[in-house]
Amino acid sequence: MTGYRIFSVLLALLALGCTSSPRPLLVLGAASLSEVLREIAESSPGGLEARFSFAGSQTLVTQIRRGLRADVIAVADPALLEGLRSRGRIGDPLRFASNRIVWVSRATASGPRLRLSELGSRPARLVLASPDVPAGAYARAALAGLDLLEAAEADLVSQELDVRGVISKLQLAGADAGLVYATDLPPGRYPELAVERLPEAVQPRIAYAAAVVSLSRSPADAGRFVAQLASPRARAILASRGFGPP
Amino acid sequence: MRVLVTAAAALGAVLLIVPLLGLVAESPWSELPELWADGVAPRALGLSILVSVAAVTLSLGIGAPLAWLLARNRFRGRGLLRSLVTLPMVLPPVVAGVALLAALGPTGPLGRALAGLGVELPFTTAAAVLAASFVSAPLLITALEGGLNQLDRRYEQVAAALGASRAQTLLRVVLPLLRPALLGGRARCWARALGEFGATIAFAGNLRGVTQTAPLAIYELLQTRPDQAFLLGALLLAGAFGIFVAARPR
Amino acid sequence: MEELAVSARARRGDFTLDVEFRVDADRTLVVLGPNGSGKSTLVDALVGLLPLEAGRVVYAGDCLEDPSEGLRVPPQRRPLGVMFQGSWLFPHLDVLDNVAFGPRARGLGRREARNRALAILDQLGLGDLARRRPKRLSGGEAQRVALARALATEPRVLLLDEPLSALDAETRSATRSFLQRQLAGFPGVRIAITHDPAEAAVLGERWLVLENGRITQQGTPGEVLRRPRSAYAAALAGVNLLRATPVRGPSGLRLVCGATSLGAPAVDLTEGIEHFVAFGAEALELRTRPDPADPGGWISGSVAEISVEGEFSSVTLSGDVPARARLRTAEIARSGFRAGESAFAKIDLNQAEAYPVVA
Repeated sequence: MTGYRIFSVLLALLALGCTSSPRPLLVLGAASLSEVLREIAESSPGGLEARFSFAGSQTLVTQIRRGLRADVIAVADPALLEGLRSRGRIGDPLRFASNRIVWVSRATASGPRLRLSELGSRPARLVLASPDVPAGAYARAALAGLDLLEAAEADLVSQELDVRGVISKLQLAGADAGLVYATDLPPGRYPELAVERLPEAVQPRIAYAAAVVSLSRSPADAGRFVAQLASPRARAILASRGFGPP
Repeated sequence: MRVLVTAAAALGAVLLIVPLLGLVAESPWSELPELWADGVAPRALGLSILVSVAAVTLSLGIGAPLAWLLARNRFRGRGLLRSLVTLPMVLPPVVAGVALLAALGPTGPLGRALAGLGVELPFTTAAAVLAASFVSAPLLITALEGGLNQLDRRYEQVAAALGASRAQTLLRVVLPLLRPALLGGRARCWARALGEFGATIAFAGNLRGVTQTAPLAIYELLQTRPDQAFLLGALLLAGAFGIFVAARPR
Repeated sequence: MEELAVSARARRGDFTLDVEFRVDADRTLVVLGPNGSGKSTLVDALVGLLPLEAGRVVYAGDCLEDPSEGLRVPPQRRPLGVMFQGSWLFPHLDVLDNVAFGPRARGLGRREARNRALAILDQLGLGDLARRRPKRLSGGEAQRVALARALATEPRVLLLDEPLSALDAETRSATRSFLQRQLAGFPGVRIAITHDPAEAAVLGERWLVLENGRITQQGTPGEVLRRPRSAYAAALAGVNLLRATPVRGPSGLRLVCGATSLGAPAVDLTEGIEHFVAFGAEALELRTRPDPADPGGWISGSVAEISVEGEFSSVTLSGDVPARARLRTAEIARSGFRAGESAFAKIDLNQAEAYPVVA
């Protein structure tokens, strides 16, 4: 009996959810964008209301490919959007920010912190994101550029589903070093982790791109939302979180 | 022998319990007011309870007849059906979510039928319930089928011989005798639904107040406020523990 | 006439039950049969759990089942009270609610059903057990409660399936006399099912021997034990059973079993008709070679088995005349009987019963 009651409450809630009339935009965003996108939307002077669903970029692309009705998609790899655009699922993508891959390491019981140049010459416990997610792919491309990929694979102790996992392994599981996005390490949050920039030559071009979803019920508002990502106000917010210009 | 068993049991308990205690101990409890104040955590926890309870209810509704069919009928393809309905248990949850998208998304066969009725599931609480049910119902089904297989049909025959109708037999004999299996299956189903993440984020999205259950909120918080993410994890754990203790069969 | 008339053919897997019998009210029919004879199939068919293929079950003029008319009264509407083999009390209900289950299922309110249950428990002297859970009952108590539960629906036909088989020897005799009293006090049709002749002798005045799904014999215990009509019934009675035909020869009437003459029958028998010949072990004389003082009429065979049972032992003979003799254990050794060796037997037909195979 309790089951029935709970179910009817649930149905009532759903009904409420369906009837709210001025629909805010539904923005599908890469998880790494969660804070900036919310901040940009909140500071929007045009009164563009948005709801966000943050997940991995691949998941978002799958959702759009499966025809889910959203208004905007913003992901961490413009290449992912190409397929959607060629199928007509989205409009033209706009690149609105960039990111860098950085080497992060910490001093551990086994010795002082590991420098990128020492990879392969000292025993180390390395953590990377899985090659199936952009962070992992970028990290491997950069390591290959430095001719360190083989050494890295030999020292690899864990492959994580996302950059968060890499940081957690460093913080909690005794890993020595890893490669993460610069935006994952805002100044002062992880005092125990040291950051090292990669040589410009191997730094992958990591861009963030957004596009209007073709199935959007409010394409005009969705277009305004995408456009504002390139506004000076948005740029400032992005920069404060470690994102670079596109 | 005894010593070995005791030692192994102790090791097992340590392995299972210490990480939980660690989570509770490491959590920055001083940030609790802040976490609570912005409304994300309480909404996510509330939604988690709503979604998991609804998922258990739905799992019972669809799982009990399936368990009955599997336990009580010999038909061609029964083994296959059993394997198929328990398969979501072994599927990585994200894959389960994509499978749900494929079937119930707007382009899927069931999704198109639903769209014809004016129903769009993705990004609704109903989708979150469905995702949680998809991965947790098999636990209930296997528990109930096991219980039914253990249950000697003689009890039902005795009830019939004593004058009980089929409905009376079901309510006054079968269900009470299935109680242990039902409670055990329900607890496992509920726990699985409460912890559900992958299928939900893929199929239902990650919308605050609509589909953002506690595990999804933890995922989002991890991007920016990892301490609070741990804290929310600890809260989820504490809530689940409380409900387990309260709902423990006596 | 409140009688139960059963003519039933039912199938379960490869097994077919095919029986026909009648029982009057206030009489007990004991169905006696070995394992696998179809006793449980018969119970399930009577209760209505196993549909008949053919036949008709009628109680007091009301048809309970007749496949030719497509009629089948479901178990819950049959006037039967059943005590299944092994009590089967509901483990989640206490004794009172177990007994009240039937009345409640048949429409009584909770309070009335409990009152009736309590009255029956008191009547059977089980009132003290009312609040016990089945798992805290002894085997004997559980069987008594199961009887109370069967009686609580006020059935017209009481069916007891192996009511004592689950009990140990001590509890068994106490429960047996309890059942005997309760059966005597039950005014309707009573059917008790058992594989144990001692139990059968106590429970009922009419026996029905069931073997391989068919009735091989019906009658009073005396008739069945004195004139068994199957190897099983003969084993129950503890006698040897042969088939032989009276043949008139030059020296008068002789009973011939296969090619072997058993001797002259004690009474006149119809020539040429096959007869059962039943005789006790003590009616079989056994020697290692024919008695030189009385050389005629010895049947030759070989010793199949010697089973020592204290002062006396039994020697089983195989050959044309498979039979069991009873000898003093000391005599067996003195005469030199050995398994596998030849032996000679003579039947004292004055101590034998001979009756036509086709009654």
